[in-house]
Amino acid sequence: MNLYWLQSGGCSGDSMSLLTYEQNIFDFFEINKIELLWHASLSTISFTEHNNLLKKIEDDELELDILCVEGNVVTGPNGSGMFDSFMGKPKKDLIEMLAHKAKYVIAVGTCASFGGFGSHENEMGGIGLQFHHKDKGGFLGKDFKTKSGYPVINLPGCPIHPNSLTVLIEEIVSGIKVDLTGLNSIDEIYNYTVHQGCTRNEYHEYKVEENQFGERGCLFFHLGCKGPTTHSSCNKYLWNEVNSKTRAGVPCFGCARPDFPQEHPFFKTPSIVDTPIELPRGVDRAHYLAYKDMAAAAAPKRLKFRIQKV
Amino acid sequence: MITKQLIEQIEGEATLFFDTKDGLVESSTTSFENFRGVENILKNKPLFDALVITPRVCGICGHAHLMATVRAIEDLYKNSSHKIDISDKAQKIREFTLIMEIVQNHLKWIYFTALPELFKLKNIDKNSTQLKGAYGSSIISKAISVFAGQWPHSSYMVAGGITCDPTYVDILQAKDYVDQFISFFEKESLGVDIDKFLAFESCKDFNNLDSDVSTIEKLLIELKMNEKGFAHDRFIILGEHSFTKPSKLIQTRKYAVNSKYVTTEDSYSPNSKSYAKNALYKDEYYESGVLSRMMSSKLSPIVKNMHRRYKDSAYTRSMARIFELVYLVKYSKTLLDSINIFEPSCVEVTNISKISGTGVGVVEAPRGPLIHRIDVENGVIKDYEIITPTQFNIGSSTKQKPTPAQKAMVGSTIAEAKFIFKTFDVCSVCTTH
Repeated sequence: MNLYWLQSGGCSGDSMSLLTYEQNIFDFFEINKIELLWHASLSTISFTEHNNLLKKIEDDELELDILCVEGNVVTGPNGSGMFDSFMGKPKKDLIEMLAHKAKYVIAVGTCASFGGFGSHENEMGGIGLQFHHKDKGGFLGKDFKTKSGYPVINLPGCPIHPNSLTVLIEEIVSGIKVDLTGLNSIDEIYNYTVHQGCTRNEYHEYKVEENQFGERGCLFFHLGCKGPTTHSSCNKYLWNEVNSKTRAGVPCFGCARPDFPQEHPFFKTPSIVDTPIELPRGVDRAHYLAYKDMAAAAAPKRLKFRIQKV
Repeated sequence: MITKQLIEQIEGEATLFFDTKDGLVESSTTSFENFRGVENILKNKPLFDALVITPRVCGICGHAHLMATVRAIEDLYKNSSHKIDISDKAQKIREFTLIMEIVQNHLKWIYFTALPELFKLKNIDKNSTQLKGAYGSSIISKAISVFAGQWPHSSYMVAGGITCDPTYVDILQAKDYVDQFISFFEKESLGVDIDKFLAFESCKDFNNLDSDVSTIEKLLIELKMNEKGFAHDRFIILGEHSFTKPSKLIQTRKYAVNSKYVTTEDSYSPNSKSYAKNALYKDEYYESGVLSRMMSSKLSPIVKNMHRRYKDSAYTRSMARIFELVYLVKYSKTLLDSINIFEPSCVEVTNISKISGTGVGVVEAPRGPLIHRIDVENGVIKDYEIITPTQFNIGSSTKQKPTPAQKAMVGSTIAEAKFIFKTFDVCSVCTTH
């Protein structure tokens, strides 16, 4: 199969993340017989060759299997899309053409999936490929489907964990049916919440809260951690196979959520009567309040006095 | 005759307009046609949000942005009479992850830019083994993740220090990853062990080597890159670190500097709209990045010897990047050994909503000085200015007063000029923030 990787209004963080893939991304492409037609940082073909390639795809002389888009679709200024141009034309035109030719379209990262960076402000006008935040639609419209019958498959994360992409590509190459969540992301990776697997879980369990950084404790109650409300597998498939933000004391910023970056302040948990307004997914408030009060009272000394180095 | 060339593979794109005579570049202008408006996104946001947002200006140097933000914040506290004294441990761990990011960047330059472009220029149909670049990147990002939680994009540096609290096991783990990288790099890229490489005194020492690095050196000479790519022979370093100190150099004469004299101006780009701005120091253009840092460094004389022979040519610039990679990787182990894990990770700071004033954070990013200037009122950002290193090197100005890259491309063919452009290690996404 072939793959075209298009970089749009982004920071190339997803590409950088892909390069850290444990089993080596180039080996991965070779083993899975993926021909990388174009990548903004990794291709060495000349500009003319690139242009010819695009023409072949447009004229249906070359069938495009997989289109990966990194970064959001830039529509600014004022709908023209010229804040992200390619050869004098807005890049969104190129995205539109390629998306309609490809068998599979993958939105790599939160920007391409939901809009992400620059999607709240009018200036850049960044929108996701098939979503704008949590609303279906985005650039290609809610009814868009590729030749394979799938909608745009979202791989949110800022940046993505390389596993998200490699798992999806393997499923595509093997012809396995891709199970999608309600936000069109792949179930295998995005079924979990970031909270599941965090080494600070016991602090959360007994409501031993961290009030300032470096203290060790749960970051959910005061320091803005979105782990319990964000779907991603950072604490199951660790970052760089080594660690995760929350394990290193950094609150989860909810970077895989459709509303990322959030419009309320980071590093602070909005709360009422000392209880977070946004509770872990699916939890009932009344029961949660009662349980947490009792849990805090039951907290063991080894956690309360930070005797353990977790 | 004006030729337009789109340059890709520079973390984004740029368009170069070459004015040639008899096939050689007489002058050029550069335009960066993309814009994201990060400085405007930051306006009116609570200051600490910048710790999450600025690393996302760039995927390859997110830690540099994070460090510039946190330094600007801590400078703001100092200017508001609430000086923060971060622990030595926090300082060193921050430096370590920054250094690792620089090393990773240079490695990528070797395998994704230098080798492929040199092969193209010489019409050699050879695989540049990009998978080595990916492999090295994978190991280094592990060393970073031990402390930062992940790479790319972490915000583990906060006002007062760092969020992580490493144990000896973590320090050993990080050292192990550095050792793994050194082992790989010696075998697959250098062809000799790093201490021997750092003891090289002149270009002749490459004659007996047969490796990717010696291939780069050989091709640079064959392509006469030691006789091309001269900029102004003026260098600037603005970030203060344990591995480099701020200074400016006119050839080899050193002078003091202050980042307050850095200004920006609109690009001169008559053929196309460019959103990038040029950065100047006291109204002059200075080269920033690897060659500047290596010229000012007291370490082994090899880069200075190369400069003595070949001035600030594309050759010297390229080799300086490789040497800096090796120096920093060796230094990173010394840094890890000197960390006292019993010091606090993070000290308490005054509530940010009580703080108003200005602050500046300067960091040596892989490509040169990165400056964040903030103006804050009661913990909310009034103004946020970001000046990136590519703005120093790859500005676009007039023929009479060219920027470093513009000057460096004069007198070469277009194909050579494109390579010389890339010896400055351009980052388009940073420049079009």
